[in-house]
Amino acid sequence: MSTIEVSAASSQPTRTDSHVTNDFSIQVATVNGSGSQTANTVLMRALFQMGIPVSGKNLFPSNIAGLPTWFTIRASKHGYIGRKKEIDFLVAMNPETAQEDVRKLEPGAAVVYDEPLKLNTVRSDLHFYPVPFDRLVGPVCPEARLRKLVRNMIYDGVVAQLLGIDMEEMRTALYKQFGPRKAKAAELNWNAVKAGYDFAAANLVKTDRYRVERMNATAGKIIIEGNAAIALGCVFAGVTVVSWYPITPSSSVIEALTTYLRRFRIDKETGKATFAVIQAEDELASIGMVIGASWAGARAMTATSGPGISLMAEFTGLGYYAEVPAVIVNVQRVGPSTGLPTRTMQGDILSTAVLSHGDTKHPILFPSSPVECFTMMISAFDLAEYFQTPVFVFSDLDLGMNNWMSDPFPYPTEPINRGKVLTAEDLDRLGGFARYKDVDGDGVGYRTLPGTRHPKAAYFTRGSGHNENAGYSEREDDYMNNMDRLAHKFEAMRSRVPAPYVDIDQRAHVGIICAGTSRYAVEESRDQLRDEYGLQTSYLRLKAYPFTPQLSEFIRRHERVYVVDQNRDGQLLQLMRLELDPDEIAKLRSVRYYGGLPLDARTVTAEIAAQEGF
Amino acid sequence: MSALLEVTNPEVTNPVEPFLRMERIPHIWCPGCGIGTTVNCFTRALIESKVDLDRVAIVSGIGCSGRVAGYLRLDSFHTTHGRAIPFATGLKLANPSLNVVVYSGDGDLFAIGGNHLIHAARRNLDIKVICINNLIYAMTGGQTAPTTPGEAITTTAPYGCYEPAFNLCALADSAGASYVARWTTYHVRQLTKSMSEVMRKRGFCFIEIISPCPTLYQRRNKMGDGLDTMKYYKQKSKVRHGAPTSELAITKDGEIVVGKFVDRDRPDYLELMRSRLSEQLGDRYVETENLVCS
Repeated sequence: MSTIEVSAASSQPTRTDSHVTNDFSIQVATVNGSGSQTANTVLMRALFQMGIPVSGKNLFPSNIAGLPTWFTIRASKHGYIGRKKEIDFLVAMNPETAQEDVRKLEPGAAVVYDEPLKLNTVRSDLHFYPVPFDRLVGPVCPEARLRKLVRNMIYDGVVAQLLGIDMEEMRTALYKQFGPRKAKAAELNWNAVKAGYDFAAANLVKTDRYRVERMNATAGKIIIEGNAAIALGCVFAGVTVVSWYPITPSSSVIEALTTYLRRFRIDKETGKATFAVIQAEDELASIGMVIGASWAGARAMTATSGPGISLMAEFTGLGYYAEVPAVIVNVQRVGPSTGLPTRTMQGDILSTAVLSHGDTKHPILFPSSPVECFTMMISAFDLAEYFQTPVFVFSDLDLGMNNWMSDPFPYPTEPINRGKVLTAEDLDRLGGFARYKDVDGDGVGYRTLPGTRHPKAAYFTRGSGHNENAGYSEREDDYMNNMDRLAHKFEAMRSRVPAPYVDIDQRAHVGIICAGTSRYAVEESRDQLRDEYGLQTSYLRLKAYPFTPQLSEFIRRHERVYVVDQNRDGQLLQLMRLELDPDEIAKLRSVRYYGGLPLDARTVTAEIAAQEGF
Repeated sequence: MSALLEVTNPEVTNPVEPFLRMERIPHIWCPGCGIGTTVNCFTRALIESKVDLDRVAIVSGIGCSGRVAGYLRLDSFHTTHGRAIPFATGLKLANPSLNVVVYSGDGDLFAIGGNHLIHAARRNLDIKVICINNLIYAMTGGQTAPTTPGEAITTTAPYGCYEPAFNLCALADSAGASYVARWTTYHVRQLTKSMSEVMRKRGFCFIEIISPCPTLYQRRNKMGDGLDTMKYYKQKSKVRHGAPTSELAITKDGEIVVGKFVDRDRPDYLELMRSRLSEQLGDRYVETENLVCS
């Protein structure tokens, strides 16, 4: 192997002494379906094992194989795990996008690239590391068929060498990824990593600033996707019936859930499954099955994305009006219509809050992390059964499909709440019941489950007008009383939904409000606003709709309040406008991003700074 | 407007190129996928059938096959999931002079869109439905479809599919289709001929194309790559024109009956409407040329 000339031009930035340690982003540009996901996961996991906070974001096209894909790993000693706007370290493997990828970089960035792409001719203000991947892959992978996949492992070795990632950690990460059953494949791939490492050590001279150093900031943490966390939450919530229809980006919720149910919900004595998962013919059917199963008394759920939510509108109205529990997970993607199926957004808030015709209102929970995906699924089932109504859980593609560093999930401390269900013994004691009567003052009636052996147990559930006794009625007073009780029930939820996270800075005149995954950009942006503009901010992160009293209190304490939305129309802000007083509304300002990528701190900081007049 | 491109260099141009939106090529389909083959056949059928290309409209649903409309240089519309047929119905009724082709996949046409398909066939609406059947939901990563044969492995049926599958040709036949055929992507000439026939045929026409998904279906079921699937189609296919459609069920590795099974003449929806209404209303029944405002 000959030594490779690293300097491309005389204006190549010279070696710098100011190292940047554990604070950079690596972007790997490859082709969908080329096995790069394994290589990227290994790289991310090795950094994590070195104690460095990491996050991984996969930007992939809506196809199965063959189109450009970018995977970004961020390492941050400060613990920021939102998307970083600037790319510091590029691995350019895709000829189709390489030139443009390089043009987008800030001066001083590092580029590992496939030698024949000759990227060093594109710019002279970057640090270039050419690697002859095709030449390196031959000796480690004699089988030509596998070379396309193994080739990607070589960049892992090169990057590890250039950044100083511990090879023992790389090895651990790689063998963990392949598992004990694929030891042979693991060895083949490990040899490729080593070949990349050895090549870099012998041939490349490091000139860029980025490097890693062992830390101790990830002890006790796990790495997990939001969709898997939701699936685990469903298991702990005691889900028994799951009905769904495939749709990106929610399919992996059910795929993970099916795996967990098989593992944890087989009756040990009989060997029988204690759950049912059914793939329906469409989303109308899947929500229908959920409502049917819930009416029967099961804990039932479905997971979908925007187009599926639209199709579920009619049945959601039935669930609301006939008062049948349902749990619906929406892993949001970019709409309207088919939109951008593999990009992220929080654009279904307004349409879901009042989904279906007539006067309807539905609770929505906003998890922001894998931990909350887990805990809020338990909350969602409890709320749905207690309030006898459909409950939505709003994740998004960023949270659902990306890898997140997370605290382990807390084991539930409270028993699950099955709500107001009357048994045959209860009916004996009471002598009967009125299904839609507000006995307790919270708007929630008592129900029986079909199959209850008692002459007074059966009642007729309908989506048409009904009175307290579930009898058909078109009377003005029956209709209005019923609708008023439903509105009262919604008010009663305010004290039972998860309360927002609030961080008040006593010196701050400015507040920031957001929900869900916007938190990562907002929390980092608060530091940027403080450090770069001297702007102190308070912060409120909503966890649920209906809003709780803390929202008004927060707005009243501040002069200006920025509401951060990941959609074009400022939907979270618009929803607040429907509920707040005019003097509170007057304080609200809107920060909106709707480009389909995970929100980044720079975008939030720039917008708030501009509106603050800096 | 379809407006065929001027062929600037006829010596080096693929004959189907003028029918494609070349600026959108390369397409998104995986190596070994059969969808591109069917598009090739379709463009040749357009040439052979000599239909007026300005009068051909393509409607697709969602999924890998749903992307076809985007590559054809014809008036084309990519609808929402499962709704290609209702859209096509409106299109045909608004402008009956159009030759409306629905080009989509098995999941789109027979799961979420199944109701629409049987009703369009029942009405004998004059549209052509080309259904790529790859036995799986491919775009979302390989879940069970209503066409997945028993015992086949999918992401949602890791122990093998146990749901009975639809027999698409029998369904279209029994709902009233005027033309029903099935080919595999190995049968390019026969498929082209069928496509060419339906472009000239009046009434609801249905062509099922058994097509490989090497990335998800064949790989998971250890059936090899695209080439292996071609060999499999060659070995297992039996041409049986006119076979009763009830005998066409697909199994995981059994025989695939192909051929033209139904070709009958029934009055189509517009003819039925015209004859009934003129019989009842006499002179008061006036028909417009088409409903498109000029």
